[in-house]
Amino acid sequence: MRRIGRISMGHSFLFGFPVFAGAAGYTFSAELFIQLFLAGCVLSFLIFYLFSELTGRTAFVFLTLVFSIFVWVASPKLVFEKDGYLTGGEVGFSFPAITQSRLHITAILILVVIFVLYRYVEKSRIGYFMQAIGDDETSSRAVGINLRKTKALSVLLSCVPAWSAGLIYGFEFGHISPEIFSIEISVFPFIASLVGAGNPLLSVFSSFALVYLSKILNSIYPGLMGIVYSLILILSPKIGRWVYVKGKRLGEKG
Amino acid sequence: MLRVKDLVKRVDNVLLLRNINFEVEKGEVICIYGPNGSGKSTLLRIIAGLERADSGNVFFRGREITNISPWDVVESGLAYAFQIPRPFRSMTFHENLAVACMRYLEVEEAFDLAEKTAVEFGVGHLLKRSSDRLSQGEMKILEILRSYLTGAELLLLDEPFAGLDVENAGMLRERLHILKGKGVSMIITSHRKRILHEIAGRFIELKEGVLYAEGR
Repeated sequence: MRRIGRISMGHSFLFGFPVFAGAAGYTFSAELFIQLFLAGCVLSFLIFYLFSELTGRTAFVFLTLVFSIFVWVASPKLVFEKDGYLTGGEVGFSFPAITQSRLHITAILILVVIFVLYRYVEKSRIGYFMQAIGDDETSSRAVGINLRKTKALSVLLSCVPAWSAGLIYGFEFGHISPEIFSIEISVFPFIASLVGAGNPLLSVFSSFALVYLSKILNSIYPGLMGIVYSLILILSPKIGRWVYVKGKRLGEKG
Repeated sequence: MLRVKDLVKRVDNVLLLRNINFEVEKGEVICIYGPNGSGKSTLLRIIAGLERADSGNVFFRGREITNISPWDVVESGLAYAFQIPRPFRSMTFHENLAVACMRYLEVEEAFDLAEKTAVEFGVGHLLKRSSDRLSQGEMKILEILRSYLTGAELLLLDEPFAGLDVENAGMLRERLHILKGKGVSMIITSHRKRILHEIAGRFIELKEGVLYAEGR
């Protein structure tokens, strides 16, 4: 989505919603788990696509975050009764079990497939169209780029890794709670891509670094990582501009 | 080829265009001239689908294209070039041109055609240059070539000479002559009609949203 000039701060919705819906369905049957997971994928895609169609670049960033927070607040209200026991609420839902080694191999495979897919898309027609829209929507329309179709494809391409990551997250912990939509998880991909300077590979490494840094800092003082996140958000536009200007100057010298 | 019929555009109850009627034949180059605020750009933007008309119709090759999406307008064979060039900033000159023809060509073919066209129009040396490092004149040429490469049969060029010095204006005029030689129809807007004397075959004056005179 970054390529079409839309950056979301609420990707936790794409990440969490299908898997949360699937887990709710798993309370009743494995079939319902699959059906609700897929329905969650479709619904989260439609919501993000509508946001990208109806809002500008800045509004999109915050609207997605606000929406995720709304889901975070609302999801504990989802409670079911099964065999005389209550399930859901703030505790969340259980998830099908899977062996760790199989899960980690699957996660690596998905990561590789997504990298290959993105590399392919980048140099394809649709990749150039996305880049053009990211640069200038009006100009893109004037050269005949179908904005609706390109935006829809871009949102879909952004959804696929988020849905996959959510599914792996669920299998890893065997449990899904409303915390999956929290602010910290919402802004995490945003922060990771900022630290990774928008480079997909660097963003993966910065994700690892942030997870470990978060564990260390939060053990020193609970919530300390939140301050680091805030600082990154405040400073990133200034640093980004500095890097851009510096890069241009270096280019001119070259 | 193009027929504009009783076109009206209002903004905040102010009439920007009042019952505009004119036609363009295949291969014809028309200059629409008039002072600032006369409605020239609005007229072109409505034809290009970038703004909506309040009433009236636009027909291109017999098909009504009034208020359809800009990408459908391009699909039908019309393309618009902005007065202030709007290149894709993160792309090179070559990529900017190639993107314009990717709608109907494969990526590699699009790059080949873009290169061939740039060489033909004498700007082959700019292909590798980043679009944010182009001079004003080079950006204007990029803007016009990009609209041409959409496969358009009729180009809508909004004030292509605005803000250009004599040298750059001469450079641009040469390129417009090449396009004219290729049989591409054009509607070109300008403050002054003199600047387009050698290129345009017909001149239309637009003043305060009203079509005042038409002549050769």
